[in-house]
Amino acid sequence: MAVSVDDILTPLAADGSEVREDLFTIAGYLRLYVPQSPSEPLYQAVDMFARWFTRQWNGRAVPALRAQFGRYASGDWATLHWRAKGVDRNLPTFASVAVPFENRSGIFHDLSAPGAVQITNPNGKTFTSQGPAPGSNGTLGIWPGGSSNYPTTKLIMQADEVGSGSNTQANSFAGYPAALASGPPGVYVGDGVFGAPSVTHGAALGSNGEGDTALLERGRASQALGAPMPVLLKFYAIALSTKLPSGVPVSTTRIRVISLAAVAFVFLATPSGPAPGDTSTAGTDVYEIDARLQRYCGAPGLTILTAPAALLTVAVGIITIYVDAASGVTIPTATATAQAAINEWQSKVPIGGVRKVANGQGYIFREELAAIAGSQVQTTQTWQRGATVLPGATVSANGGAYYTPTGGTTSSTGAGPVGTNPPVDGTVVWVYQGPASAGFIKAPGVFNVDLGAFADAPVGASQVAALTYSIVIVIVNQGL
Amino acid sequence: MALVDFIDSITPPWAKKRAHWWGMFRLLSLLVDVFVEGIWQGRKAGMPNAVDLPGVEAYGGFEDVRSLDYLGEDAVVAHGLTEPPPDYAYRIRHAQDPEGGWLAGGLVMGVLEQLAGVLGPTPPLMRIFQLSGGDWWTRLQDGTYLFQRADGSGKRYNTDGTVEPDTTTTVVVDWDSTTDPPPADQGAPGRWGLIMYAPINTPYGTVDDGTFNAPGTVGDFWNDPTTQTPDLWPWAGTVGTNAPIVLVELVRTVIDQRAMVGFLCSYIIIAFDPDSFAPDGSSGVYPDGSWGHHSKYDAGTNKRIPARLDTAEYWPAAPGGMAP
Repeated sequence: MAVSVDDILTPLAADGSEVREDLFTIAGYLRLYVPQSPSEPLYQAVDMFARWFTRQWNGRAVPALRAQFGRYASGDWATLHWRAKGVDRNLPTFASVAVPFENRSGIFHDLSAPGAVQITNPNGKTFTSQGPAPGSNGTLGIWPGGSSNYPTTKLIMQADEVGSGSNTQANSFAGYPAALASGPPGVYVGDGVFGAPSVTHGAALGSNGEGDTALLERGRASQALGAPMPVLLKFYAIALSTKLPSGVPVSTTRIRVISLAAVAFVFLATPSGPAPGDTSTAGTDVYEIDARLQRYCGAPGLTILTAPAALLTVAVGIITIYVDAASGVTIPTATATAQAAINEWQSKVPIGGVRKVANGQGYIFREELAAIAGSQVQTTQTWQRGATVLPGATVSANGGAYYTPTGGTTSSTGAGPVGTNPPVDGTVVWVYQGPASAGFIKAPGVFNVDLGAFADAPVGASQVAALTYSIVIVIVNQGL
Repeated sequence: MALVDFIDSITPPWAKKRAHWWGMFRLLSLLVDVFVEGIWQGRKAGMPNAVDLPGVEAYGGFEDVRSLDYLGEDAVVAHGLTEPPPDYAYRIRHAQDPEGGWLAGGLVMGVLEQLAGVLGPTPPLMRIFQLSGGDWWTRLQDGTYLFQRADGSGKRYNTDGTVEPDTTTTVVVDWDSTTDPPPADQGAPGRWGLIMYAPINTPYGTVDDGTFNAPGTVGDFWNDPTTQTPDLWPWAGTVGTNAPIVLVELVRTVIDQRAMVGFLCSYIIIAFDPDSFAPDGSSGVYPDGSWGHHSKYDAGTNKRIPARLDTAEYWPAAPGGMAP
């Protein structure tokens, strides 16, 4: 008997309870008596097999089956899914740049071996030499002294950490007298000019790699790459696949194309705001994307005008989130969670705002923002050692549901309280409510989200919205 | 053979007498069977677009074809409201087709073939015309294309791949050159329009919406003075025809995706008179330069009168989304 595709692709309950309950039901039809007490061996045998099956199904079968569909594929499966369609995920890259070094000593140095030198950027991130830059041999001659310029060479310096965390602005590595993080004495970052110290190098940019959502969007847009004429998705695919001269993907993740009278107006934005650069400055997002659009989407009679999206600041004011104490969420946690959810959502709001109908007026919708603000403020309700728990919190552990009228700080080893009314856990008194599968007596979660007087904010067609807001968390129903 | 049946066949008689053990064997072997069956069905779920050959069980026996929509998402092929699964599956398989798939992106046939797909199983007669020019493209309902020009140098593209001359001399359209006040895009190069002859997607787009004071056919709330129009939901009605919002947006989306950027589709015209907008000039009324707005000033009566043919409805189209 066929089941629905959505049922097949949905993981089973991780604790095996779904399979276990089904096995009990089938056992009944087979007239096989299985005691319902967890302490009985036969129960434990069935439970063991239920957990085995769930682990295998959820861990092996479901991800492989979900990988057939772009909307469900994730991680490595998503990488493979789109690679089969000719779209490779942009992987994390190391920030890397050629840096000049000068020798202020009377000793010859050969820095050509990888690892010969290590330096630190203004944020404390370290870079290690990878060998000479093109045109250099990595050696530093003896400085003759007096007012002579210092011997120089250039080395390729690569960040020790992958990603954008080590990004370094041009000309920002510290020169003399700042010492190298490691390297021979008398050698410094510098251009070698006596009496006029300077450091000249390009920007070092790394990327954090492409997430599943971005890969999905780019993968689907890439279906139009073969179109003989410049269609909308071809613009998206070309723009989002652009890389800077260093090989790092552009930071642009949002694009909007507006057509009018044989002109295509292309607006670009990153997750944090307007795309950097312009159509005249090589090496910037706007320049490099424009170059590719003109080449691959330019058609006779069509004018393509590329520009960063315009920034629109939207003042939301105070967002008040009322959280039920049963969720066990503390104010700092709820605040951080809400901020993260809003920032994540904001980084994906389309240029021109959210539109209810295609190409209609776009907005930052009040109700959507409220839903987003409260959407992640919830607990998994698993017991944690050393956690601060509010009165009224509910948690699950070892298949049981527990409630605390006192709150406090937990202290147990992490296995959680077991059975009925366990011993006092640190300063927390737990009360057993019943099997976790039966649900919680008190429903936890976000009670309400209030945005005050904020109303739907219109966003211009070429604008990208940046929200200003503050969050207030109010815990309700404490001790109930 | 399912594992449970295999266990059945090898279990010794003494074990079968002990119902307890026998039940356990069967119960646990079912787990393996379910695991294998789940993978089997899950894999088939990813292939409903692949199996619709004569004599072969439809979709390989996997009855749930909802995964077609997931596959269609990845191929960026929209699913029509009344489009049968086999037709949609065919279009997904041919998503990169040079005759009407992405390898025809931006071309006239690339637009019209996708519209024919989403308006299936019986797509309407459709035409594409220039708002300021004499080139006309027509897709007949059997898939034949007519390219007709003012100088008679047109072509007929038959479904068997043959091409014949079409010497029809066409009407040169002047949509809005004399419209006053001039619309924002008056004179803009490259504008074109789409005509679809009703019924466009039975049961939707089959009738107009009556007169101004007639009750709305699909709940468009236009005619009810006592109703506070609720927030739009996809199946709410639209003014002018019984096409719901979702159908209008589907047509706009296909145009958005498949038409060439920069050259605007200004209007989507729903024609209820099959003889209207004939390229060969045989219709009674054609755009005369004053069709930039729905109405125009009539000096004789000192009133505004309808500017356009009243047996058709005019939807603002995409890209841009708003008619001038």
